[in-house]
Amino acid sequence: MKLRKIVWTASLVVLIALLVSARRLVKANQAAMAGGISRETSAFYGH
Amino acid sequence: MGPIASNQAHAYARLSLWFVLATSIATTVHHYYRFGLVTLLLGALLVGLPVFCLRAFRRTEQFVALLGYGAVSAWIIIGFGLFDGWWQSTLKLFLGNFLLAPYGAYFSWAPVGGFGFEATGIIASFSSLFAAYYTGRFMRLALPVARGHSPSLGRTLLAVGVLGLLLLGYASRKQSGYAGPPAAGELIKIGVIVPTQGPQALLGSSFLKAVELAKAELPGTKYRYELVVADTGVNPIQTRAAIQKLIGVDKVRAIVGGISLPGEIIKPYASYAKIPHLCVCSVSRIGDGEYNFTNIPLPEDEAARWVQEAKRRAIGRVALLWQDYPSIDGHLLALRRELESAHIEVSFARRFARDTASFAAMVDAAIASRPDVYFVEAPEPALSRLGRQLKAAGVSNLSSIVAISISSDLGLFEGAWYTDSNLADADFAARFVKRFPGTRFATHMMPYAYDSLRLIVDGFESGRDPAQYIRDKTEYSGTPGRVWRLPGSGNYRSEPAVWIIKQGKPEILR
Repeated sequence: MKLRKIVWTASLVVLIALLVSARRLVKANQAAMAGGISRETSAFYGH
Repeated sequence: MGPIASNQAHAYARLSLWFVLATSIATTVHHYYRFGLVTLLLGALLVGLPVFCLRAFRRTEQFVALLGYGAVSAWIIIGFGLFDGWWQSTLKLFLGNFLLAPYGAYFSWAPVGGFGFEATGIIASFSSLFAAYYTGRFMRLALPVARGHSPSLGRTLLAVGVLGLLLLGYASRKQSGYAGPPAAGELIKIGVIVPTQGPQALLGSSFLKAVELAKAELPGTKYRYELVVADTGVNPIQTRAAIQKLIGVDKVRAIVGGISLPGEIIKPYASYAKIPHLCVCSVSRIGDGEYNFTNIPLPEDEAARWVQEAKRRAIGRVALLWQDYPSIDGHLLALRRELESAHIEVSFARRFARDTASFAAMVDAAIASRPDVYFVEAPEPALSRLGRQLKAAGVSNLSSIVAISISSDLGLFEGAWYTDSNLADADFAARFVKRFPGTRFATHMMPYAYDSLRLIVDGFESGRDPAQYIRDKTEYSGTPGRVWRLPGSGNYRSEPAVWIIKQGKPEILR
């Protein structure tokens, strides 16, 4: 029972961390897909 | 079933059902983002079926009901938890598009959706693991006591299930590579991926027109060809989305591309899909000799031609000014090697950042070093900025590798000489201008773009695997003259030409 609680709690923490990271990744991806030439990406077309 | 085992079985049954239902609900919401209200039908099925089967088993203890619950749970866990959740959301997002992005070809190519879509996929992937564990524990306890259970039937059904999964996996492969010669008259799609926006739009537009000219000038062919044009976009994420669509959705069977940085992103996708990719780009590592080939002079070819011309002009000292950028750095590295072996002195060398606004101190120092020629290489807009400031300082003896060819203000470089694509086929420019009147003819890359499409078409017309045809093709006479490749190498090479700006126009020196 104790082990089950530890596993469930650890999984919940990992899940929440993944969801928070996913939110940032999705936003960054949307910005890149919609974006023009940002400072970070403009070098991509230097040549 | 004894009372303890029975209690354990009931506990595992409850936990199994909770996590199966959690996976079902998460995946229903996940699919709602793509398919709308019709997903409610799927949701009703995903929630109703496991509840129905488990209730039936608890009421009757029949093996068939337990088998039904196991099968429905397996469908939900594998199909929606592992495949949809892990593969198409969690691993795709965190590994394919982030931590292991350079190996993105080996992960799901599903586009990254909104947060709600991806979050429900992640939740489904997590809950499916718990569902798998508790369903397994429950089945192990319940199977031996189910009425009508036969161990041999259980094993047979398990084998059928595993075989079915393997067949499903085989059928859902993203690309099968070369599948034998196409049927006569079949339509073959060839992807053309170049920048159509940003600073390289001129180059991309000329490149595209050169490929269109090549297609228009194809002789009678066994197959029909269609060009599927894609924009590389302005960053690696857009390039990845473009190549995934070209191969995964448009089903192109070969790719012609330009510009090194997108080429490096496209390379693993072409290898993964086992289709030929001819890249008109100077970064030699893109060409692997398997599926990826570069088709433009290498930096050492450009450097050797530049030094040859410099010696003809009796140049003994050169000042180097160039922008920090991979392919330009490659040119400079090769050029400095050639200069050293030709005993031409580098009087001044300075690499500058892309956003350098004032070159005054750099230009003054370069002038003070008293060079015979000023070598400048940068893309726009830095090239014109530097050109204006050099002109204002009275410097006119300029030279370059390629860069001046794609300057937006050729007037700044009157009298400058540079190496660039050769045009051994003197009629090529005239045919281009006739077909696309009013379009600026940017020589750089165009002859190679033209030849690359012809090479791919020749590969298909040969009736062999076009990638193998290209692997075997180590020499041909093309628009820029003789083009050769060492066996096994991924780099087609040719000798560039020397050009000069005369009255605001590039002119080839023969």
